[in-house]
Order: sequence, then structure tokens, then C-alpha cells
Amino acid sequence: MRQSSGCQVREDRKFKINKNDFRKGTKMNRKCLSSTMALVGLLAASTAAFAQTVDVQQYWTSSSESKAMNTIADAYKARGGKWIDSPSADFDSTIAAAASRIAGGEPPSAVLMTPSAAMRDLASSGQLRNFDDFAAANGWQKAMAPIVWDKMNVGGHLVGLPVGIHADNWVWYSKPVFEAAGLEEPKTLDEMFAAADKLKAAGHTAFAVGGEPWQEVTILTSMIIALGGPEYWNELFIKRDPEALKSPLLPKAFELFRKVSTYTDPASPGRSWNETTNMVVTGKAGMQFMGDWARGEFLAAGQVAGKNFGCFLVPTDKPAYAIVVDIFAFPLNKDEDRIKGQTLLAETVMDPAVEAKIASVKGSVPSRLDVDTSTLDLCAVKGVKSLATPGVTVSSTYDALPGDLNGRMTDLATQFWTDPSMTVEAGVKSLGDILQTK
Amino acid sequence: MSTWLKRQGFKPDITVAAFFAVVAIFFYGSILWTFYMSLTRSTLIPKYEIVGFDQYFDLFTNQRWLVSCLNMVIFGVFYMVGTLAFGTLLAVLADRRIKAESFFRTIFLYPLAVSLIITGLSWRWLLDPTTGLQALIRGIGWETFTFDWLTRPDRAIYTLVIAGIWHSAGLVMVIVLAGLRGIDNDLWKAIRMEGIPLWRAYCQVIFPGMRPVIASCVVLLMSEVIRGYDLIIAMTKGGPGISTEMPAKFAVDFYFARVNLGLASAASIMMLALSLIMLMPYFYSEFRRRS
Repeated sequence: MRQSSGCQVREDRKFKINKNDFRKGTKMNRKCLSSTMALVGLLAASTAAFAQTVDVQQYWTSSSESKAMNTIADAYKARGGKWIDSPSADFDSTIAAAASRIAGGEPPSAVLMTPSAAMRDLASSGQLRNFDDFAAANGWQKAMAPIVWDKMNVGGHLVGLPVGIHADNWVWYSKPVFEAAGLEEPKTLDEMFAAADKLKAAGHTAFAVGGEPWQEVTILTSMIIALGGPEYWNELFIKRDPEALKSPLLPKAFELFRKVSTYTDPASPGRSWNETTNMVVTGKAGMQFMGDWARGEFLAAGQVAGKNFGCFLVPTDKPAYAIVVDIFAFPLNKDEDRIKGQTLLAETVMDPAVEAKIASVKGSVPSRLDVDTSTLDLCAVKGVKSLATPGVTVSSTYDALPGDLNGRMTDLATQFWTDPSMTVEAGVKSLGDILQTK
Repeated sequence: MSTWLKRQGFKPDITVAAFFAVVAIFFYGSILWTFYMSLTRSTLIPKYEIVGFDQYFDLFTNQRWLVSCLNMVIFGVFYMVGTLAFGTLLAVLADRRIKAESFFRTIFLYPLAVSLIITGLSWRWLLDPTTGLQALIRGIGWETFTFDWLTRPDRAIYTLVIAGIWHSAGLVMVIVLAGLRGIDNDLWKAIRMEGIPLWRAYCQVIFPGMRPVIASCVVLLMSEVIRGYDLIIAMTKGGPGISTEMPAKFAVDFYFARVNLGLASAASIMMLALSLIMLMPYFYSEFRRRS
């Protein structure tokens, strides 16, 4: 008796909210019925009748990205969940929206982000759900590369689940343009710039660059990693060793960074990364420095790696692979159906079959090591190999630097890029100041 | 109804008090909270441990903040002077009893009805060297024509000024025109009788008498300058580089994207201080006149 009256009250309350929603009404009836059944002892039936809702704050809006997000959404819906999409225009506005929703007490149930300072902040203030139990039960730690696992953990708790792995230090080039100019894939930095000179002489934009600060800083960090390799990278950005700042590599990296800027086209400022990739896709430009999300744009345009486009990690003596991990973080939610939705999404994302599909449309490398990589293309295989080779993979500055240091380095890079009167010494000094702040 | 109200002992003070309470809590309360946050090392989530004025030191060693402030001054001066001059000129022309005055008035006032985002986007397309004005004129045949200010770090700020003036000149025109219409006809008769040239009449007689009108325009435009955000977002996103950053954008970026609540709060408080400093001459002249 008590149970049924409780059920009644609940329905009334919901009814007020959804007065006009007939479909919801029937769902409520079903829920009511099922909890009565639960009283009889059919526990399983009651859980199945709860709607499993997930409200996903995300920013995957380019064509390949939205395909990848739909892959996740479809797999999630196929498991019986209800998907609410909350898209933002870009990464920054996603974090902004998620932060204000969390502060306002209406948290999204999943946020697409990176294991950055923002994630660590949210986690250490207890705003994120941890998945320790699931990880232990399903052996997730063994399924991930150690560096990826470490990024997901804050204070010994697993607070994010990887969707896919990207790397920063790729260069993409157009095969037809290279062939027409009689060029091979460059093996060294010198060869790369020689190729750029040839392309420039042939009337192409040698390096397509989107003049947004985050795109520019990628070129600077690519130059640093190309010259220094993983060991120097870790000393400079992870340990932030003051000695590393004195290295003659840094001024050289700034010089090369500036050199790249001389090969760009006048329409570069403010151009988005995918429009810029499109210049390489259509053969207007020869090369682009971009993370391997660019691969998704080639694929979306129907191109094939090795045939229409090629890829190489920025040439270096010491192979390096600076990873950026896409993750879902799950802010604490109170409603049971939303918590169940989070669990279902977590299972969906960690499903090796789903991971393989995401990788094949978006250009990422699966974050699980046990995913079947036989269907991946040439470029993805290069990534998988780098990830599996010990000592090659490092954390990109996006994820690694604490607080707003990455942002400040981005400001510096874009300033150096756009202002030719800024000297290399001034650039190196500013970088030192930024990396030496607490 | 009124007798019922009287019976209830209705007092307007109560309504006003409620209003003031709302203002006190949501306006001044927020300012105080922001100031409090600016004294902490809050990042994404507020932390309540006070560390002093560290964030302000950080702020004034931050190159982007300094560039933002400088840009606000450059944009502010050119935009305000330009808008006032252009708007006043239009008002004077409209006041010369031209034909189809209301037609022109509507045309020039129209940009104000367009949101700043649309204004910014349109001007961005118009000034984009590869697709806009420059490409058009080169297409017509003037091959060497160059107008690439939008993509030049040292000039991009002036393209914002152009778009801003286009947007706001109509407002100034309408306000000044209203002021001009308020000028006593006898004054004009006297001017005509004395045979004073028209430009001198405006500069030495008419405008000095319209000081309150001009002051209102200045205050309106100044608030546009200080909270300048949407135009920049639509037109340059702060670029090329950091050459068109402004304080409001700095604060928003650091609140959210850079998740540095403390520094963003310090920036907001400095913006408040800047607004007060910029409005000081106005308040000063107002108070002086009253006493």
C-alpha cells in the first residue's frame, strides 16, 4: 500500500512537469508498474524500465567529428539509452558551458574534454564520478597504455574514460601535389623545408596554416619535439627543468617556427583547422601541421591514406609522439536514470568495437590496446606503432601543463607568429618565464 | 482597487526597497564576490583561501592583458572621436532641411538595429583580403589594390574602429539631431543677423550649448568600448595573434576557457576601476555644475 501511494505521489509530481507530454506519461505509467513489480521481486524488470539518459556536452562539429560522435550516440541508443546532445562550437565553450552548468547545479552527465588542468581541477574538487569499480572489474588498466592510464587518474581514481588518442606532431600532405613537384615524403627537417621551397616555387601554399592561436602553437611545439625528441620534451614541459630552458634547441625551434610562417597564404588569419585541411585535400596547399584529427577530414572527403594524401610525424632523429587524448568526464549527477545513463555510456565508450569505429571515422588511434587494428589505414598504423614503442609517446602540452600555462604559451606563440619584430631571444625568455611560474 | 490598496497601507517605499535590495544583492553583491575571488587562487571552482593581491601582479605582468588595455584605449579614442564626428556631421546635414530627411535618417540609424555579431561578420567578409573588397577591386582590374588591414596585426584594430563607427554613428546622429531641433529659433535669427559663417556658428555657439547632449553620447559610447566583446569575437577573435584583444574578452576567456577564475576576477575588477576612471570627468563636471 505504502509503495503504491509513493508511486502515485511521484507520478503527480512528474505529471505537473510534463503535462503535455503524452509519451512521457505512458512511460511514467510503465515505471509505476515496474516498481510495483519490483515489490513482488522482479528486480531486473525495474532497472530495465528506468530511462537511461545521458546529456553530453561536446564540441565535435566538423564532418568527421560529428560522424564519430554519431557512432557513439548510435551505439549508445542501440543499448537502450536516451541521448541528449548539448553541442558547443568549440573546445573552450564546451568547458565554459560545462563549468557553469556544474556550478549552477545542473551538471551535464558527460563532458567531452581532454585530461587537462580543467579535468584535474574538477576531479580534485570532487565534481567527477570515478570509475574505479568498473575499471577493476573489466581490467581497463591493462587495456590502456600506461601513459594514457596515468592521465585519466587523479589522486588514484579513474575520473575520465578515453574515447580516442590523437597526436599533435603530424604533418599532412597532398600526394598529387607532391608527385607533380617530384617530391618524396621528407625524412628530415631540412628535406621538409626544401620540399616547401619547391612547392612555393611551383605556386602552391607550401604550409597551410589556420591563423588561430592554438593552431600556431602546435607548430612551435612540433618544432621543439622535432629538435629535442621525447627526452628533452619531458624535461622542458613535464619536469619543467630550468636547465632545459638554456638549451640551444629552443632558439632554433623559434627560428624554424618563424620560418614556417613565411610559407603561409594571406588568408591564413582566423581560418579554422578543417577549412585549412581542406586546402590540402583540394590540392591548393602542400602540407599542414595538424593533429591527426585532420585525417578524419581527408577520410570524410573520400580520400585514401597513401593514395590521395600522406602523413608523417614531424621529422626527427629521436622518434616522438605527443598525444592528446579525447575523454569523457562524468560530472556527479543525482538522478538515478542519469547515473545509469553514465554507466551505460561508459560501457559503450570502452567497448573495443565502438573504439575501432570511432578511430576509423575520426582519424584517432584507439585508446585500448586490444582493439583490432587490421582495418586501420597507413597513418593510423603509424600512430598505433608509435604508441606501442616504449619511450616514444609523450604527453602533449595541452594535457601536461598545469593551470593556464598552456594558454599563456599559446598567447606567446601567436604573438611571436604575428609580430616579426619580436626577437627569438624575447620569445625564448617569455617561454622560460611562463614555464617557471608555479 | 485604490481603496483596497489604501486599506492595505500600501507604501511605494516598500516597492522601491525591494528594488534596491535586488540591486544590492545581485549587482553590488556580485561585485563584492568578484573582488573576493580576485584575492584567491581559484581556478575552475572557487577556492575561498585569500592569498592577497597576487592575481593583480600576475595580471600586470601578463602581456596579453597589457595589450588588451592598450587596445581598449586605441579603439576607444578612435571609435568615440570618429563616431561623434561622423554622427554630428550627419545630424548637421540632416538639420539643414534636406529633402527626404526621414529616409536618410532611417538609413543611417539602421545599422544600430543590426546586432554587433552580424556587424562583425559582415565587415569580416567585406574586409577579408581574399574574398572581400580587395578581391573585388582587383577583379575589376586594379591589380595592385591592397586593403588587408584585417589580417595585419598592426592595423586590424582599426578595422574594428571602422565597423564600430558604422554601427554607432546613427545613434549619435539621432541624439544630436534631437538636440539641434531643441535650439531656439531666435538664436538662429540672431546668428543670421550677425552674418556669422555657418561653421563658426556651430562650433562656437550651437555645440557649446549642447554639452549635456554630447555628454550623453560620450557615456553611451564609452560603455560600448568597455564592454566591447561581440564585435571582436565576430570580426577578429582577438587576432591576428593577440593584436585585437580587449579586456572584456580577456576576462571571459580566463573565466571559462583558461579556467582561471582568480585572474579573470582580477581583470573584471580592473575593468570596473577603468570604467570609473574614464567616467570620472563626466561625474566631476556634473557635480560641479550642480553645486
